[in-house]
Amino acid sequence: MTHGDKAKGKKAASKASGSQKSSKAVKASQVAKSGKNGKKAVQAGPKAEAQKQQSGGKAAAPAKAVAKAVAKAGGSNGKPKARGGPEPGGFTNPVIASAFKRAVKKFPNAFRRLTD
Amino acid sequence: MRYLTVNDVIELHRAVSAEFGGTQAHPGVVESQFGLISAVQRPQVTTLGREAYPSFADKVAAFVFALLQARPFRGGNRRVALASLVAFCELNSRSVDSRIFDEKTAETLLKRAAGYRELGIPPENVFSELRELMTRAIVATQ
Repeated sequence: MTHGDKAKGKKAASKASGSQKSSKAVKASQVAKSGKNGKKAVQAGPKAEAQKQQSGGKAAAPAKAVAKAVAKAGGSNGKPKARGGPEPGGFTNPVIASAFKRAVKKFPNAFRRLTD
Repeated sequence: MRYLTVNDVIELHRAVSAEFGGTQAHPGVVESQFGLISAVQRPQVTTLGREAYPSFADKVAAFVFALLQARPFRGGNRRVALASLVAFCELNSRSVDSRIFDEKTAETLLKRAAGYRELGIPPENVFSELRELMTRAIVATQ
């Protein structure tokens, strides 16, 4: 049995080497084919670019419309308008606002002198 | 009893910085959030089920001193403390008697309270000064 196995193993090894040789040949053929395909791809390149440009041109029109809509919604500079809320320096509590005004009237010099 | 909120104090800082500026005016920018929350909650502190600052003058003094101790803003902490003092009083239908708590007194007291570490004054002495003055100066409005 062992002898038989060895013989089979040798045969398998020889087959493997044969397959290596054959794989080299296959690689060479693949390279040749790919070269041809590469040429085809190069030839197809400009067509694909043209198609992309056409599709991009179709997409550019909605983008312009969106930009116009944004410009209409916002100010003249294209920025969106500020949302309504407390103004800078404003107070949410009116009692605090009146208290601050009263404090400024009462202690104007103290506020100035306490400035860093 | 109505207390100032964190948002109220931030708005006061924004207003004070916009009104008076300063070299380190960053309107509404909080440097120490923990310090600000701690200062805002100081008048409401209870110990063993009792209010730590029972009278209104105690609460005002505690709040102002906590603000000055914590320094929650980069600049304008003393001005915010002064504005908060007046706002806290008005929020509870009280006002500060300007004959007792005049401009010079306010400036001196706030400077002492803010720089008690540099001046070497014990904090309890500063707090008692503040409390005594607030007790005399705060009056109820009709």
